[in-house]
Amino acid sequence: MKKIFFVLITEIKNRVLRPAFWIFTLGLPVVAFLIMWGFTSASGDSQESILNMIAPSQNVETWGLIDDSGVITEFPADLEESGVFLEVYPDTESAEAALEREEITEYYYFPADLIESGEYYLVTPDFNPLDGTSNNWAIDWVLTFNMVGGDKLLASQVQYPMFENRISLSPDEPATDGDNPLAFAVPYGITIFFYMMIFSSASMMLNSISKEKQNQVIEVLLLSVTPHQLLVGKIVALGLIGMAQTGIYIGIAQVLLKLSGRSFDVAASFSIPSNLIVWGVVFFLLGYSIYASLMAGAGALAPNAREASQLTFIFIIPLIIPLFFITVLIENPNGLLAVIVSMIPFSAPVAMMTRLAAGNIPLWHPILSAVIMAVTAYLIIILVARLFRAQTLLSGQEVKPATYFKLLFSH
Amino acid sequence: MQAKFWFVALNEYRKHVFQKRFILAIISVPALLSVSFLVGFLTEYLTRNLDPVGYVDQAGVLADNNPVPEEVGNSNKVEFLAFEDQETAEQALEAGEIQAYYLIPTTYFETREVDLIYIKEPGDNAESDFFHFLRTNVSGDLPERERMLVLDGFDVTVRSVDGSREFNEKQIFNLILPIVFGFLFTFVLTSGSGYLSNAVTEEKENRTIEILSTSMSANQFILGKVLGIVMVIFTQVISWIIFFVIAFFGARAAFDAEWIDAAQIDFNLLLILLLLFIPAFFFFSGIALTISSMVTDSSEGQQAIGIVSMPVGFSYWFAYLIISNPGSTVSVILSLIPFTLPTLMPLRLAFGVVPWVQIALGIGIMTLCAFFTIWLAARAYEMGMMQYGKRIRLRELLWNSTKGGGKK
Repeated sequence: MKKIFFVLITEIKNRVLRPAFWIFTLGLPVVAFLIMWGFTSASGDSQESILNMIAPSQNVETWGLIDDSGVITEFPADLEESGVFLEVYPDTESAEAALEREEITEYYYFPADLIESGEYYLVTPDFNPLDGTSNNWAIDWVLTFNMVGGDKLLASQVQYPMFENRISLSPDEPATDGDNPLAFAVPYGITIFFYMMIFSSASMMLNSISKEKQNQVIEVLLLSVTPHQLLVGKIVALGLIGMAQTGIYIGIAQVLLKLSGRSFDVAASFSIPSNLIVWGVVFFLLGYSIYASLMAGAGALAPNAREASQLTFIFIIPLIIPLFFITVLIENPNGLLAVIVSMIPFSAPVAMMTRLAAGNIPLWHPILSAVIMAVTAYLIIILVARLFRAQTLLSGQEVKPATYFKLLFSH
Repeated sequence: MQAKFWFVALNEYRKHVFQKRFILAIISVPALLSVSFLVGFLTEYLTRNLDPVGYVDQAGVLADNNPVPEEVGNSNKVEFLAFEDQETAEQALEAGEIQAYYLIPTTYFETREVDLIYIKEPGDNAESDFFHFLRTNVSGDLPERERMLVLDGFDVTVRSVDGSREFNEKQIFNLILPIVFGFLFTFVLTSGSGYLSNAVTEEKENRTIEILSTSMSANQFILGKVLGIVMVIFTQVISWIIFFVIAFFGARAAFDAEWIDAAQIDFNLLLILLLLFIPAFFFFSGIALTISSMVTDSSEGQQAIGIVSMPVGFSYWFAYLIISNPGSTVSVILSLIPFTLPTLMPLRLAFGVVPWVQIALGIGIMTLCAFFTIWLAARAYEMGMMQYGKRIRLRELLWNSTKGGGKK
């Protein structure tokens, strides 16, 4: 235990006393904030000129319309209230002259066979294929309004026939707010954040081991401590550093946002389960222990850091799988696929956090998943510790994924 | 002269193409696309529920029970069952006969509000199918053609004022093509960083370079190497293009989709893309050879190539900016910098009108830079031969090259 503590303290000291660690930990959020602050506090004129370089502003918001079909007889009264101004022109010459005078930004052309062909044109000086989709709702509204003979009530029913109130009869599954973008964005953000946390902390382990192997310090270390003590000490130390780093990022972001008079209160508009932070710590520690041990094994086997990092791709695949199915996991957190991927210990740390953030799931699911992960982490630490034998560390041969797993289970 | 650089080129080509690693790189793109397609299909399959959906219509809006036309919505539609009252609907829900039911209250015509009642979350498809079902019945009194247009929507063709660019559903490939070219370019650079960095260091490490230098000039050697590498890249890209063409015709045969049948390709755009990408490949091969000639071991070279190709990957950070404002000053500048040009100019071509002057300038910049890097690679190779085992600094290389290295 004393030796584990010794390894732990040495590893923390080695990391924390490096200027690069503080530059990265404190510098990154500060630089991001300074860029944001610099831009938002720039004077009105300079801000406008920067914005103009990035995205030229448009002063005129009126669109032209040439209607050769005769379908349009009047515009709905609420069109201008929604910020859409349409100016009718008799022909393309006059519409193009208005474009040149910058009285309109673009114009629509309804050909004589509009109803038969079902096709109209949008003519724009800054051609962008996506323009055809961005303004569609207003033009569709004008067309629908005129096709139903100017009956606004009927037109609105035809255009958008229902507003849905979702009522769940299940006590375990409260109704989701399908219209709230945060219902998707929050679990999505938490998933990505979690993936990055585990991956970056586990990568620190890979660098640490492969560096010590390359400069041969590890051989000296293994004379004084057992591989198991070395591995546990390093895992705990780097896990604590990873968590502290994340805490510092969140803390700095909060303080800087407060200082600048802003706030980011997701909880106000979206309910995050209160126990999510507790589960977050549990699944981070377990997920990190599994991946950091695997990375440590890669570091011990590969002759250099570059070859070790090639091996990590294989390990990371199970962690990426939940990201592929993120939509399914968020929309159906209690579905079969969601349950399976959150019980497999290699994909569980990310998948279970997505499910926990997405909705109510039975309590025994995260508990069982955590137990499976704890057992897996324990077994992997024992197996990987065996890889730290002198001949494995000294071999220097090229390491393939198959060799890695063969060595892992051969002892 | 000719035979010698061809010999180097063919040797370089053979060395890489008949390797397991290269075959894996070729297969990786179709494999990656197949996995993405499979994931998309599985996601769609898992969020879909084809069980019937009930409704209790207190407003009488669904009295005619008009079915949704074939052309509207997806082909696997959910069945809708009418219930007299909420009680019977709830019984059916509890018995698992329906996945959910809608309650359309008497106030529907004023508010358009409906209740969706369920025990387990219904499938996304059920909600969108009911939306179409309600819409079909609300618009029941319209003439047939108008009703179809209301339900299915109009086709929009976006056209530039001068008529030089036009976009509608049929031209979807003109939008996809430049993006695919950009992605392939990035993929070639990342997957090929290994053989790019080894281009000269391998010969240096095994001392073959000493024999080679006695038989041919630096220009011949570097030209042969560049050609060999570009041929390797072309083999990779052409294999992927063949895969895309097969996949396209396969999709056309398998899915009877109208837009695939009507798809058109703008051959002018294709030509511009080729004129941009061919020098871009030579440019990056030239850089790789320069670095490879400057360093002493391949791992050092790989790191340096990683740094040089970083702007290519980072350029995608600006993708949103380019797509939303392809004509802004920042977009124009970014699309003319040689390191970001291969990925960002195609995006501008897809999402905007790029003046001919800027296209010509882009091709010109890329071609000049390609010649420059190949020339620089030859100079680096010469210097490397004279300073065996010592890493050459960039400043040193540029200084010596401009002073008199270009004579050979």
